[in-house]
Amino acid sequence: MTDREQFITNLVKGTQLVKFTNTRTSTMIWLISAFIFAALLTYIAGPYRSGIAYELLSSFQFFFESIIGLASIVLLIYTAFDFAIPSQRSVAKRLILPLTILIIWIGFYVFGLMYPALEPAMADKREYCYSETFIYALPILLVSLLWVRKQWPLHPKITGLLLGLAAGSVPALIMQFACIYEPEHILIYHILPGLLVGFVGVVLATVMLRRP
Amino acid sequence: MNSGGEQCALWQKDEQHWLSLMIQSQAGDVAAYHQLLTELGSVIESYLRANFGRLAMLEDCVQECLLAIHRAKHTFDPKRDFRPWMFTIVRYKTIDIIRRNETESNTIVKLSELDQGSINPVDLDRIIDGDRLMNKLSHDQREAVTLTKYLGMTTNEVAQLIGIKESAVKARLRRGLKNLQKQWRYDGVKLDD
Repeated sequence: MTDREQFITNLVKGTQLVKFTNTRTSTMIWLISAFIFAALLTYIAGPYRSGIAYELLSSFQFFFESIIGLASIVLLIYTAFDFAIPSQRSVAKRLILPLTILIIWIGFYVFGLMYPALEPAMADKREYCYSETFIYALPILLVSLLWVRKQWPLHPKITGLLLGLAAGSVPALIMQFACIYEPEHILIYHILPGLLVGFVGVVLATVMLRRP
Repeated sequence: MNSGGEQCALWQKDEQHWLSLMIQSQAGDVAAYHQLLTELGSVIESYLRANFGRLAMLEDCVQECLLAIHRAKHTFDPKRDFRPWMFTIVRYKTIDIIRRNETESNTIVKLSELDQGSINPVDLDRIIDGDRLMNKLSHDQREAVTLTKYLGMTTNEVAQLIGIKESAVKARLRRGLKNLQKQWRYDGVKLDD
């Protein structure tokens, strides 16, 4: 028996049933868990803005930008999980859609500086919304990194960035319903800490997601 | 049918064949998995020869690629094509091995430059002759050191792979490393404990 034959014989010894976890299933589980986690923590730390349901239904712009925010998170996390599976598809092509939607989402708030979706008001302002956004995102990011670590991430830094952006965007989006609606405040105190989690994701990924 | 068409049909046939073997392997079929890895071993060897030419440590590369495929088995989506998944792993693994070897070579060069004054080049070659040192270990110890320190497997994975208890792997590893250390000391290399 040659070395290779012996090696293969050893490898196949004790072969067991292996179940592939679908990227869509992972995305679904992640979305539900991350939103429940961030929404609950936000609720425990302080009440949501009063009349939020009415605002969502009455302002198409506010509703639409929230939907785009959600779509951005879905695409970011789906792409991150997809990056954890070996594939020959172009890295740039895979990144275009999630990053474009993220930019469009942020663009809504830049547009809102001139044409806000809701009348800017200081009512129901949260004292520490920026740190809440950042802190709530960290456990989500850590769990996501541990999850992806079990897969086969060939581009650890990109995967970390996408996971960080997705994890940071969840509390950032929730803050639109829990804190005041004022585009400048949203960009600086909700979106920016969310984006910073993306960089934390890159840093953590270099340690936690070394290519297998 | 022209040669391009024949090639395409052949690829398609291989794709279906490997896909079916992989699905069976994921379901825990040992024979199918053995056949798959054996066939992939030859394919990877041809691929490496074609793409990287006369690659040093070719057999090591093939085995590392097979190990990578084994460890990434759970990430294969049966609804996707098998070839792109497999060749992506092989390509990245080979690049990593080449980079690692380059880093090791650079380290050796730096080491030799540093020690030029104190040790003559012949002695240094003798000291850093890893193969010679590894051959001084028993088969069990060499296996434990190679799988953990060279291929990066955990002791638990090694235990599962060779079918012994994890504590036994740890003991073999500990003894192997101790022997290597002893050998290095004997050869005149000062080590930090």
